[in-house]
Amino acid sequence: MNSTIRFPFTPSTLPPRRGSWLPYVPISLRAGVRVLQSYAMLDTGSALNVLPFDIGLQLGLQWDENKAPLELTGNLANSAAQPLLLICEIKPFPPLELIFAWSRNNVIPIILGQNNFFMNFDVLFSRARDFFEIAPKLVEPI
Amino acid sequence: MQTNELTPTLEASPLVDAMPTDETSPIIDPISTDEALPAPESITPIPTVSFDDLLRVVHILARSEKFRLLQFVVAELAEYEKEESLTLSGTYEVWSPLDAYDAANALSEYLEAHKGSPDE
Repeated sequence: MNSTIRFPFTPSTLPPRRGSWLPYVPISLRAGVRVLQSYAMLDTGSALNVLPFDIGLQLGLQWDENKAPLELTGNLANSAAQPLLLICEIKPFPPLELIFAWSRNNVIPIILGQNNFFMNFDVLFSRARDFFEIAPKLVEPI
Repeated sequence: MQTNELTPTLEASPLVDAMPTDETSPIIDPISTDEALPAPESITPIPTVSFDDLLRVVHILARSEKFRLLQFVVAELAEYEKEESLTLSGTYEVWSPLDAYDAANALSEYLEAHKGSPDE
């Protein structure tokens, strides 16, 4: 499927993001046999995808001290991070592999950034009209 | 009020081609003042006006009336956006790893090396 799907901007009711309307998409994350339904924030300003620590734990993943650490920037600079490859699905699009910086930080949402979410999807933002649209790049289904 | 200053542009505008030439529009009177408004209890329901019709009327308003309209719209938007407005006492965090290019490159290499065999 290569159609364009429209999503609404979502108001957050939790502090400190109270009053914010953000581009969240429902997403399912899969690691082995475990599947987790959650929401991810589209962030064109992020160089990469970021996964909160607890989400990884809920997927049954274990922190691997042998993996090469990633050095993030901004508010995440003080949180350790390591690479994580997950199968993700934003319905109704086909599942695909998304690479995350798995951060030992639980305050953040799941962040979908340039590498490699925006490399795989075209997104049109219309905050003034409270919607955004996603269309996947043509990829081979898993 | 310098209403006449605007009239030269009105004739050339397609927006006002369909406008009635009668200056006393039944929707908005460009020369109305607050004092001239009826008491609230005597206001009759406002008829439905399409956005295009409204634009035509706004186009012929006097400059000062346009400023008043602008103030009204801004006040309306401020009310609407009250929950979203920024405050000096608020904390607004930005989590974007904005320029984490080294980490992004490391992820690309990891993706290339592990493509087809995701973490479990």
